[in-house]
Amino acid sequence: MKRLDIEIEEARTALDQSGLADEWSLPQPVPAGSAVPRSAAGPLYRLDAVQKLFTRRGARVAALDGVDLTIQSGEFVIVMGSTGSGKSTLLMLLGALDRPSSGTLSCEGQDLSRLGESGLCAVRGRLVGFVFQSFNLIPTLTAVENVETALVPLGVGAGERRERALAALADVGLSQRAGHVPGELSGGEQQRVAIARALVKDPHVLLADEPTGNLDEKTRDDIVGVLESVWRERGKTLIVVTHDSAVAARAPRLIRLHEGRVVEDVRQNGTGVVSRAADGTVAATPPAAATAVPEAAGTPVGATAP
Amino acid sequence: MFFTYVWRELRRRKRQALLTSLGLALGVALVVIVSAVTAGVGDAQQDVLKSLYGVGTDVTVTKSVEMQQSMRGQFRMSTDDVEKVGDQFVRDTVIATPGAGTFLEERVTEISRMDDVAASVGGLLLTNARVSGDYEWLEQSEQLEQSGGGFGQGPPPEGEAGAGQGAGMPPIEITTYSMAGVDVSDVELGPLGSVEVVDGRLFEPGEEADYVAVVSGSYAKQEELAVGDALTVGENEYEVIGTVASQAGGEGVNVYLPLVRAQKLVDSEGKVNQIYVRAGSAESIPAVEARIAELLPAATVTSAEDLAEQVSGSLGNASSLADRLGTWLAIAVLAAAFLVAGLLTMAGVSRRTTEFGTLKAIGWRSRRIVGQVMGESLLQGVIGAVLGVGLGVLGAVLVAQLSPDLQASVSTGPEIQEGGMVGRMAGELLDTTQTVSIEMTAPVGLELVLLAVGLALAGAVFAGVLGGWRAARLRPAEALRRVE
Repeated sequence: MKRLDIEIEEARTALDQSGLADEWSLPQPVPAGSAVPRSAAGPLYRLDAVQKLFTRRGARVAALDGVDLTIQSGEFVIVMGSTGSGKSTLLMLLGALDRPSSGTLSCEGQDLSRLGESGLCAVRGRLVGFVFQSFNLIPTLTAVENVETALVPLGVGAGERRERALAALADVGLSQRAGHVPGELSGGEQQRVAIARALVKDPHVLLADEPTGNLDEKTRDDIVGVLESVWRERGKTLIVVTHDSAVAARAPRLIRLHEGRVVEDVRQNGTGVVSRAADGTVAATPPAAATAVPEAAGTPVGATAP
Repeated sequence: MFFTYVWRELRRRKRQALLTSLGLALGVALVVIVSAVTAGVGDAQQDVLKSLYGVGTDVTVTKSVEMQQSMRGQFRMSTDDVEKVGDQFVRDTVIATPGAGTFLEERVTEISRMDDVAASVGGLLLTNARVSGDYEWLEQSEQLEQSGGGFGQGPPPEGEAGAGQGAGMPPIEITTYSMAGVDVSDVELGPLGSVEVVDGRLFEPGEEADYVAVVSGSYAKQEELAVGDALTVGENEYEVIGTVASQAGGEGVNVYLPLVRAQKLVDSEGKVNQIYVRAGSAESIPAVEARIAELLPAATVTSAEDLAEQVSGSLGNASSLADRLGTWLAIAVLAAAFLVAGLLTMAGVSRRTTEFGTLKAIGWRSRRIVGQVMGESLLQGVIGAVLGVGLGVLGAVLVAQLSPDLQASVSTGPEIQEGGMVGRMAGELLDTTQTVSIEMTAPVGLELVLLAVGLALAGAVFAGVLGGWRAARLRPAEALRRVE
């Protein structure tokens, strides 16, 4: 905990220097096994006119071009779109891996677009869990050691780190593979390790970028099941970028991007209780059932015109 | 986690890690070898100087004078002053080293009273020349000389220049051995300062004017002399009281006599041609040199450092090789090793973009990742240091074992311009070149080992900084975007 305190303190210093200390309250360390402090009031994410520009061959290209979105805490959201539509860029911004070029992106009421690298790092380390398409495990470390890497920036002691990592592996059904390096694990097992790594620090939100992209159909169902259970049983906010319509069908909310803009934002659990406020906020109804609803059956929320 | 991660990473990239470590090891090993050889050559030079100069002697004072015309007389021979042995003639001549001017002994006393001078003694270097040859030829030469010609008059006929025994040169043989008159009151300073007693003893106070001699081991062997035997020098017999060997294995002086006896041999009572000075401290040597130069403007004042510059032969070559080529080679290899280590580390970081991007995505700070890269680099540096020191020590031992003995020569005699017979004989007599054979060593001390380890670690830090700089510049979003 001492290490975490030091890093939080450094982040505070960075915030003080940027004049954001009053706006941003950094998370407090959460002891192992304690309940996740869910944000009961207000949205988890709010994006207002978010734009992300890149320079390619001298030309400015907008990966995201004026995105307005609100994602409530505890939601399971699928983000779809063709290649280059900006969905991965959106995930990077939500995961505090990058800052918008313009617009406002707030997480739990705090503006990420004005945070320095130190503040973003603290957000990544504490609030966000990532799951990648290619698993991105450290090839030389065993499964349990890979899971432990997520606790390193929090300053968790070696003993507790190992204990929590083993518990996280048990949660995804991989206790017996804890001592194996990624090369000795199947794709599905590696992705489970990656999910355990994302969950071990008890983040507020789980961001998954094509988590089933490298998996076969059966394994894909396993992994989606694990993610669903994380959302359902542990109340985590789950945001998944995918091309897979079968995966997309299992989420209550679908956001479709096209050329950097939100062109579709629908509830698809069949309840039809979906509304979009004037400020762009989607009033999400908590999922009543895990029943997958075909995308076509989804209720349009009102596409943002390109 | 840190050490586990570092160790596993290096095991995964064995080839690259080994290449980096070996590069550093090679550079470090070369530095060790070159430094050891340089130190060995330096030690050898010290040994040579001690041998040629005397242990504890900081400054020697000599005076060069032009060979006097009268010296010709010393080289002249007639049937009257040679000993006839069968068909051969033999003549021994003891002379003060030609070309070496003399000082009054009072000068020695004056120098010993100078500030910063701990002690000062005088010495007289002598040369015994034995000329032998065909007696009949000598008789004919004598007759020819009386009629106006003769040897030793002017340059030799064209094509016969030089001291060699070429066509038309007289059939004579010249052998010389050197002698030194030693101040028996302080044998530690001067020519006996660098010898080890093999048998018998050195001179003792009270033997200033005794007919006693100390001979070098090789001369004793050559002349079949032993302690207690009699040695004839000039017209007197001397009792051999000791045999000695040069500490450095060199042979400078063959016979040592009490100074008074040496002076009498050449009718130079109260004169010396070498003054040996021991300074109060190493720092005061230049000041002492300056004071002596002021007192004796015509004298040549030489310190051990000056003498080192005159050392020629394989030792001089080794010194020059170690100083120039060795040093530059070591620097070049070390720089190349640093560069290779740096580039490999940077390339390694580039290959691990996803890995470091992922770590940043899960909250690792840049400095932790830089620390990881630095840790891996340092471990390679440690391996490089161990290998480098091992290779360096092995190399130094091999160099010391396989290298031939070094020969060092110091010539302090005047140049001989004159040709012909006189020139040749004078060349033999004036040749004050002393050659010493030194066993090559290449000592590796703790300081050198620490230097080697420090260099390897410095290389590792350099590589780590380059790699860390690249890792720190990685933006997680870009790192992940590159692979997604």
